[in-house]
Order: sequence, then structure tokens, then C-alpha cells
Amino acid sequence: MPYVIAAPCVADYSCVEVCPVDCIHPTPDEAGFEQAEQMYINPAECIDCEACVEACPVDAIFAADELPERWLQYAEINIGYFESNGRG
Amino acid sequence: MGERRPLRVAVVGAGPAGMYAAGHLLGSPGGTYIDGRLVQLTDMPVEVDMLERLPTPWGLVRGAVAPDHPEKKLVTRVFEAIAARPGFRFFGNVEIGRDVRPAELAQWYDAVIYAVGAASDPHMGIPGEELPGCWSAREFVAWYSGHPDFADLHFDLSGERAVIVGNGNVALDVARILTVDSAQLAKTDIADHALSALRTSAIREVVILGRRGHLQAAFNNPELDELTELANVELLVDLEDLPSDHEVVLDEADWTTLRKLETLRRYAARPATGRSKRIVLRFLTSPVELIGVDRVEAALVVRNHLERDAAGRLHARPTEEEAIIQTGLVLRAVGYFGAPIPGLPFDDHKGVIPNQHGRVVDHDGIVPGAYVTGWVKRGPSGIIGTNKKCARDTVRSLLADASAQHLPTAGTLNKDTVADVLRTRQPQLVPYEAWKIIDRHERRAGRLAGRPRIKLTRVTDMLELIPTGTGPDVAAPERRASWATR
Amino acid sequence: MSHRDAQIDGGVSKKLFCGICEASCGLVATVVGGEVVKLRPDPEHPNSRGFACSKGIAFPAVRVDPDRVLQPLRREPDGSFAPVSWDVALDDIGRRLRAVIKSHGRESIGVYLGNPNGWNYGAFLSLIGLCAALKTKHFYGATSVDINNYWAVGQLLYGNNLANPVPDLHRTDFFLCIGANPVISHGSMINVGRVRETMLGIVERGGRVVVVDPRRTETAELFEHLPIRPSGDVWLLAAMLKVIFDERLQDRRALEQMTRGHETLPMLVRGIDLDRAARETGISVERITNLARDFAAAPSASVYGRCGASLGPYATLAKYLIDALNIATGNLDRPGGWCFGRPMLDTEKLTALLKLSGYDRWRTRVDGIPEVFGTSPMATLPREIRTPGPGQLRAMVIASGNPVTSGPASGQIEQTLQELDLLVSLDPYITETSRLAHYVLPPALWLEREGMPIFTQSHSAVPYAQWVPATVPPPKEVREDWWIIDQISKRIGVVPSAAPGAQLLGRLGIRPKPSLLVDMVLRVGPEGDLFGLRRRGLSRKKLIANPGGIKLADGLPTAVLRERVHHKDRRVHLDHPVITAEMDRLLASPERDDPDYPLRLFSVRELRSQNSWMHNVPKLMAADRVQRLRIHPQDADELGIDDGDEVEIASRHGRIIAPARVSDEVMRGSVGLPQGWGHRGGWRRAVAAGGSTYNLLTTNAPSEVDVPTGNAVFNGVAVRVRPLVTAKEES
Repeated sequence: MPYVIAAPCVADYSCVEVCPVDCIHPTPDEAGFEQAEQMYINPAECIDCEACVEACPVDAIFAADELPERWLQYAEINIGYFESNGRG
Repeated sequence: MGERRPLRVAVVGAGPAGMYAAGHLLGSPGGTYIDGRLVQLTDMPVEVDMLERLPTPWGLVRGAVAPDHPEKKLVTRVFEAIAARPGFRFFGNVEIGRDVRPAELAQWYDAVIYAVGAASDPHMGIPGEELPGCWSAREFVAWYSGHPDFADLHFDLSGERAVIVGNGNVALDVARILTVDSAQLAKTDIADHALSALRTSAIREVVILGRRGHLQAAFNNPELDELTELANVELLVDLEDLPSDHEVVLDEADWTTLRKLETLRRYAARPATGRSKRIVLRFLTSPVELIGVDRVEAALVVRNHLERDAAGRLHARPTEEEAIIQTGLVLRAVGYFGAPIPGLPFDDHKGVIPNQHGRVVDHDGIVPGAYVTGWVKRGPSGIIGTNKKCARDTVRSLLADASAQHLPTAGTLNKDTVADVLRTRQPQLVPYEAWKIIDRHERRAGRLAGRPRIKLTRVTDMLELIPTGTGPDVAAPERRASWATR
Repeated sequence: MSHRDAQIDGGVSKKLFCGICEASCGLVATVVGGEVVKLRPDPEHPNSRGFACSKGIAFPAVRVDPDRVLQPLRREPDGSFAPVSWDVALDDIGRRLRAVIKSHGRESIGVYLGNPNGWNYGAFLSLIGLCAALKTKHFYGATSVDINNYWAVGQLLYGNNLANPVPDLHRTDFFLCIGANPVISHGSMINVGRVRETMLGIVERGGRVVVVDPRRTETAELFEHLPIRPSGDVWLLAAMLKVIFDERLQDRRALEQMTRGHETLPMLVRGIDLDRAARETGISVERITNLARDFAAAPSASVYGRCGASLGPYATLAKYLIDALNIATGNLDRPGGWCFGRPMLDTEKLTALLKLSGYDRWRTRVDGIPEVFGTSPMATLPREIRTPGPGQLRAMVIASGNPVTSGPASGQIEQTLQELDLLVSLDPYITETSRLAHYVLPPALWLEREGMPIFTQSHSAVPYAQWVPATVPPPKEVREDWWIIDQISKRIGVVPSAAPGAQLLGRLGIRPKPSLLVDMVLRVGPEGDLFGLRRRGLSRKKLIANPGGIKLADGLPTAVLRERVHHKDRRVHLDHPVITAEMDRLLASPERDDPDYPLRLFSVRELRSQNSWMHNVPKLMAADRVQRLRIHPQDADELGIDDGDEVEIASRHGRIIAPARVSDEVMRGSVGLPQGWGHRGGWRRAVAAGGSTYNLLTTNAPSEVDVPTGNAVFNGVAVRVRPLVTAKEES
């Protein structure tokens, strides 16, 4: 049951800094960071450690089963980013 | 540098760009993220003096992030934490040009980072643009955000329709603020003068014009999605007569664009539900003239079509098809543009200070000790956090130059001397503790009214709050051992 | 390379488990050239099932931390540390200890067992063994901060300190969670893999989870949160028990069949005034009553209380009442209730055999506090160092501990440790504690030695056995803890072992490694292979060949009471004068709050911290780790405090400074602060992070700590909070 980054994300990438398994992308050194609308958590690699939740300054990260109703679609969106091979 | 004194850096501009730069310079126990590792960029002690024209910091986060995006404004927690680090000082109400010149800063500090953003915006270059009723969205945004320089603007909201030229996130922010119930806005930190004006606004429809096609729309997905969720405001998407998706090469479109397409298609297919207010997204449409006698009364727009040039790039070219849109309020949201700083080089074409990896360059090459970060370096693109990486790269250049003894350190003043000089130039400068007084005042007023804060919108009102002799000008005096101190 | 190691991308994949906390999460390491290049949770681990938190995954950074102590260090007169060889260090330590023994006797030497030793069986046994060999009362540990109450109650009720029934979360219908934050802590004195999902599962199948806590924690916000005043929990528990007996909701049959002395329960709580309980807890009489009724009526239920309930002035009574509630409602030893674990190694039998387990067999020299498991409480340490006379503490070995930050009245601990004739610290860092030592000796980290979760394997929700070899070799001059202790012991003529005959064997030159003893106990125990007689039984060899762990059962056993209770009559003993006396003390306690210190402070758990020792790891310190005092908006308003303001927090015993976080996550009248900050010494990131030492606000006065055990009181501390600006003006 992975974690999901939702609409408030401002790409501050504190989450990237604390993630112990590097499952959050695009990192600032990856292509596409400067055009990114938000950061995304790779659900296939997320280990549910929750470190990103408290690190995010804008409270944009939720456990998939705790997403607020208006942001439920973000679970699919985080999946979709990685399925598109990060072409987003 | 005889014995190891701290590196002294001035950062001009207290928005995200400048604050992130200060953060990278001052360092933190966790380190800076580079290529998957957390490293300490330097073990030199560093002191940062942040100079800001307004008494209030945080740049566009305070002055432009929409009032109905309170979550995004929480990013100021990051900036507050940076401001609390040892070595950080804030000098608000200090203006480059009026109070101090770049040449002086260059001397008084080992290095200066300009993080001044983009204070201007491009014009459309069409007849009638100077008519009253045509504004830049930048001005409108600053006005509803309570920016002191824009508090006295008066926008005519008595017509039924507003037209926004450009479809980036700013355009969508403006569209929401013009259509969302003022009862909702009353719970936000929107400036009171804007709240009263919007309460009596007659605007029912906002038309957002995009020069190019729907696949080239500049807004981000979260902002588009938000338009689909507004109570009492209908989203209408005009995809009629747009080239079918096969004509435009779809497989060039990345995943982000395909998401937008899906959302747009969903809304294009919906029948109108007759809600009281509407936001209309129109594509391949440009204004060519604003019509009116002593104010804007209508916009003459032309239909565009997309052509590929020899290199394969798509361009919007006008067709013969014209239309008239009745409107009394036209807001151009075609981007921001930098403003030159006398004493520093400037690229008129791009609206930035020319630079390489953040080092300012002029005709003779790299200007020692001068750096840029944020929009004045990259142009007005990206979101708040984009500046964190940009600032990191500039700071790396700066620190490399410091190690290689390339900085002009001869005339650097120590922190007490420079504070005295700045105070002489601007006796009413606002140290961080004084900003906290303003901040507390606004938040307390907000609490009583059930709002995050009630903004002060005049510099005189802010300065009046501050008792004379408020200091110290450091945010956290003895609290924490500096990372770099042994 | 043995058959169990798999080749992956030029690296070798090795299984192990995390040695940071009780959850002991299964891990998979990718090792290349003797270095751990990748660490991930092991999805196949029978208990943790693919979960691990960022602390464990980030741990390899400690191994290569530039601040790590990599050779023995001797403190020079100017306070700096100089590297010395092991021989030089150990010989000098031996010489100095022998001098102490000569002048003052073996009983003047002491040991402090830090928390990490709980998952370092070699260190655990050696340190305990050293104390037993020295016949010293100066056996201190982090245990007297928050767990000795468990052990005292375990001895009283079940006949062994380590007897520790746990809530059967996989089957329960009602989980009452008091003073615990499992979503963040991942469980303490209970080892439930994927605890968040497991707790959510209770609600999904129609059950209830009620979280009692002064703060709306990460756990509380997922379930029913019942706010309570800090250290009000003992009142809640006693009141619930009273309601149950007053309304005859108890399970008479269970009480009659399983216990001795159950008549004392209703008498014990007879004097509880529900109105007073409501005031002490901040929970209405109606809610308390309904909670008790619902708990008793649930088909199966369990109440569990952890650190939050163990850091108040009535920690032992609170733990007793927790067990009593479970027992009185017929939930002991049945599915969905309060169940014993199934350990691979019967540490209860082992400690009984070695005469380690016990309570109140002797009392401490200065304060007369009863021993628990042969330990003296940290509360008494400074007085034991300062008070002259036979048995005065003169020399100490601190193993993986940081009592200058973690102990009660920590300022006194810091002062008095410096008065010892000899202080030796086993620590990978120069901390605020180890920097006071004459010698800092570098121990191997859990990645660098064999591991067997000796302490926690007895309370896993999915019983399993695991024993892993070292994943990577330790750096050249780093040694395993047990070896260090053994070497020190050798030089003072003892064998660090409590096993009968061990000292004699030592005189014959035979000093078996801890693994030998443990393997023997394992093999003759209920899960063992009886040296080959039981083909499917366990041995060290078999487990090391299966380092991913072997499941022993699908869930907690039930109907095992008679085998698990150590009392001769195989019954739970409920009648104890010490408990009755505690109840009298509770009832006689004054109700007024101190007007000078009107707020109650309690401890807040943080995800990326583990006690006080993980603050030098970059990944765990990224994204601004700042220690903040949580204060309710109304309290903040009244005190003129805004979010982010620096505030002074003062108790009768000390004062500290922290920035405030104004938030309605805490109750009115309560303020929450994380412990474990305010570092000094050579761990530079930790020091740079700043913060203050929470425990400077706490006391170690015998009358103000938990009377039966001397457990520290860290929750419910009466404090005053005011803006720092005001504090400065008034000073």
C-alpha cells in the first residue's frame, strides 16, 4: 500500500532527500525536473516507510488509503507517471 | 582572508529563489541533495544577509500564490526554518538603487546573489492595449494578493465578461478568483480591498484564450483539474473545429499532455449545466485589437492554425477568421519578464541577467562575485521548488569560486559594520524580528476572523507596527551551533 | 560463498534483520566488495512481511560515518581523545578496575545497558553476566526509563520478569491502545509486522480501535482518538476496572480458573471516585463507563499500554491494571485477547535458571528501591555515585547508552558520571555521554555481527525464529561488544556469565562465546533439535543457513497459560501488597495542579529518530529536523505564543528552550516535546541540529518516581511555558 503525492506539491523535493529507496522522481538531477508539475512516488518501489510524509512542507503526501476525496485520482497519477516510463 | 573569517554573502530578494539560495549556503545537518547523495557543500562558515525591497519576505509565495491555494503557502515553513539558521539576517525595506547600489554590495560582501525575479511582463503589441480595462494579470494577481505597490489599483468588474489572454497557471488562478464565490474567498488571506471589490463584481464569464492548440496549453494538470471541481462555476471547453488529434502528431505528446487532453475531452463532451458562472477555455485564438472609446469594450480576436516549419516545430499562424468578444476587462497572462537593475548587465531579449551556471556575465566575461538565481537567471518558468535546484547550482558555482579564491574579498565589511551602513542608508529597515511582529499581527487579525491572516497592504502600516529599536537582526541568536564551527 | 547467498549484479544478496528497534524488520542487503550498497525490506520475512522504515534502510551510513569511532580512544587531560591500541586500552582499564576492586570491592563496579543491547544477544548476555559475576547491584539500564514496570508486573503476576502477553491484533474485536503510537513506533513490547495494516484490519472486520493519547498522533488520527491528560492513564484504567466490577461485567469463570487472589481486584479499585477519575483524565464519567462496558462486552478485546503509560508516576500500577483489565474480562490467553508469544528461545526459562529474573530480592543501597531483574533504576544512579560507604559506585561501563540525554534528572547524571574513578563507554560515536568517558571503545554495528533478536522474539505476532550471520566484516580496529566485555572481564579475573559453573570454567581457561550458550539453550528448548533427536527442531546452524527467518506458527498460541505461568500453582497471582500500597498512594495523592507549573509535558515520538542515537545519519536529518514543542492554540494564545516562537519550558527541576509548534493535535493543558535532542560531542550533524535535553526537566527523587521500581517519570511533568522574550525580560 504505497504513498501518493497529491496536488499541493510544489516540487520542493524534501521528499526526495529523505526517501531511503530513491523511489521519488523526477529528482532535481534528472531530465524533466524543471518541467515537472509535481513529484511522483513509484508505488512499485515505495516501502511504506512514511519518511516523506513528515518531510513534505506542504503536506502533499498521503498513504493511498488516506487520500482526501478531492485527490483520490492522484493514486492513479503517481502510477501513471512511472508506467509512461517517466516520459511525463 | 587571514584567519578563517566567515564567507559573507548578500542575497537580494527574499522570495523562494533567494531563500533556497540562503538555505544551501548556510547548510543544514542533513546536507544538500546532489545526484542521489546528501553532501555538505562546504565546511566554511557562511553568513547571509538577505536584502528585500518590501518589509515582508517570501516573494511570490506571499505576493502571487492564489489565496485559494493555502497548502502551497505552507512552503514558507521551509523558509522560516532557513531564516532560523545561525548566520542568517534579514533586512527588509531596503531597495537596490534607492538605498544601496550593486557596486557597493559587490564591495561590502564577498559575493552577491541577485534573486530579484521578474518584475515586468511582455505586452501583446496590439492596438488598444493601452486602453483602461486592459491590465497584465501580474498586476491583478499582485492586487488581490495585497502587494503594497498594487494596493491602489482599481479594476472595473462591472461588466459580465472578462477575457484572459494566455492559458498558463496564472491565467487559471485569475479565472478562479474572478468566479469563485466571494463567501469562499472571505475565508482566505486575499487582500481586503480585493475582497470588497469582488463581492460587488458583475463578472459571470471568464474566457481564457490560448494562442496555440489544446495540446500546447500552458496550464498544469492540477490547475486544470481544479477548474473541474469548482462549486457553482462551470467549465466549458471549446474543442470545436480544432484539428482532430490525428492531424497533430499525438505520439509527440508526453504523458502530462495526454492527461490534459483526457480531461479536456471529458469536459468538451459535457452539456452545459447552467450554473451561474462560467470559465471558458478557447484555443487557437489570439486578440488582434482591443476596441473601445475611453475604455475596453470588446476584443477583436482571430482564429489561428498550427503550421510546421522546416525544423518540424509548430507555430500558430492567424487565419482570416475573426470574431468579436464583448468584454470590459482584459488581462494579459502571457508570462512575466525581468526588469533590468542599473549597474548590472541585462538581456533585453530574454528578460534575464546573462549568466553561466549562475555566474553573471557581461561583455567582458564573468563578473567576479556576482550571481543570479531564480527567474532572473532562468526566465519565468517552473514552480516554487524548481528554484531550489536552481539555487543549489548557483551556490555550487559561488562556493567553487570561493575555494578557488576568485571572489573579490578585499573590501568585505564585517557584519556589524555593514549593518550599521545599511541602517544609515535606510533607518527604517525591517529586521527579521520586526517582520515577525507584522506576521503575528496579520495572523492574529486573521484568527479573529477565521482566516489564515488579514494582510497589511501599505508599507506605512507595516512600519508603524514596529517599535523603534526592534532588533536583534538575527532570527535565532544563541540557539544552535553552526554546522561549520569546530 | 554458500548456497544461501545469491549473486545479484556483481553483488551478493544477504538476509538479515534490522537491529535498531524491537520491530526487528527482515532486511535484504546487497553486498559488493565487503560493503552494503543497498538495503531493502525482505518481503518474505514471516513477521515483518516486506516492511522496514527509513531508519533501518539508511543505517549503512553509520558504518561509513566520518564521525564514527574506529579505534579505542583514550581521553587526554585537555578533554580531547587520542587513539590507542586495544591492548593499551584494555590493560589500563583492567588495571584501574582492579585498583577499584581492591579498594572498594567488586560491588562498586557498575554497568549501563543501553537500549540497542536488546537485539545484540552477545552484548546482552555478557553485560548481564558481568554484573552477575561481580555480584554487583550496579546494573543499570535504559530499562528503568520505561520498561521495568513491565518486568516488575511480569514477575508479580506470572512469575517471571520477561513474561509479556501481547494483544492479539490479528483476531481481536476491540483494541484499546493507551500511550502508544504503533504507526510511528512500529510497536514496542509487541512485535506485529505491518502494524498499521493490521490495526486497520480490525476496523475493516467490524471491530474497534480506540487510541488513548494526549496527542492526536499518527495512529490516533486513523482510529477513534480519546484524548487524555498526560499521566491520567492510571486513573482511566482503575476507573474502567471499577465500572466492570460494579456492574458485574467481569468474567468470573476466567478469574476463578486462571488466577489466585482475584478477590483483591474489586477491593483494589473500590476507593476510586469516578468523578475524580474524570477530572484526572479529562474524560467524562459517561465516556469512561461506556468504554468499560464496550470493552467487557466485546467478543474479544485487549488493552495495551506502552511508553506513554510507562513514563508516569504510577507506571507499575498502570501496567498491573492493564493486565488486570485483560484478565478480568476473560481475555487472557484466548484468541483476540491478551496472549503469550511463542519464542524460539525461552528467555524466561533461561533467566529463571540463571536466577536473573526476580523482583524485590534486594533493595538499592541509598534509596532502598526494589531491584527488578537484578537492576537498579537510573533514578538512583547519581546518589549511588555520590553517597560514600561500602558499595558506592566507583567505576562503570556504559554499553551503547546515552544516559546524559536519556536518563531522569539528566543534569545530575552528567555531573556524577564525571566523578567516577573510571568510566568506559562502548559507543560508535563520541556523544554527550561517551565524551565523559576515560575510554571510548568502538563496538561492531549490527551489520557487522551475528544477530538474534533475543529480546523481542518472545512477543512476535507471527512467531518465528531467526539467527543471521554478520553481513559485512567490521572495520579493522572495531570489535564485537561481547569480546570487549570478555576482555575486560578477563583482566579482572571473572567470566562475564551468569551461567552456573562459568567462573570455574574460566579459571580453567575455558571462556565459551555467548553463541554457544544460546545455541545450547535453543537446542534443548521447546523449539530445539535436541542435538539431532528432533529432526525439524532448531539450532543455530540451521537458522544461520536460513537467515530469512523460519516461521514457527501462523499466529499467537492460546490455551497455554499453565505452561507459561511460572508460579508453582500455574495461576496468575493478583494479590500483591506493593500494588495495594500503590493504589493507596494514588488515592491519597493531592488533586490540585501546581499553579506555578500549570501545564503537563509529555514525550512525542518521531519517526526518524530512535531514542537518541540516529541523529548523525544524513538521510534521517534531511528536510529540517527541529525539535518543537507542540502547544494547543488556546494555550498559545493565552501565553502570547505564536507558531515558531522560541519558548522557555520550565519545571521545578530545570529549564530548556525550544521553538513552538502551535497545533490542535495536543489537548489543552498539555504540551508535547520529542526527547533525544540537545547533543554534544563529536557527532557533528547531531550536534548541529541543536535542540534541548528534555530530561533536564525531570527529577529522580525517590518519592516522585514510580515507587515500586524507580521508573523515570517523563510524562505528566508539571511545566510552565512562556515566550523566551518574556523569560529573558523577567530574568
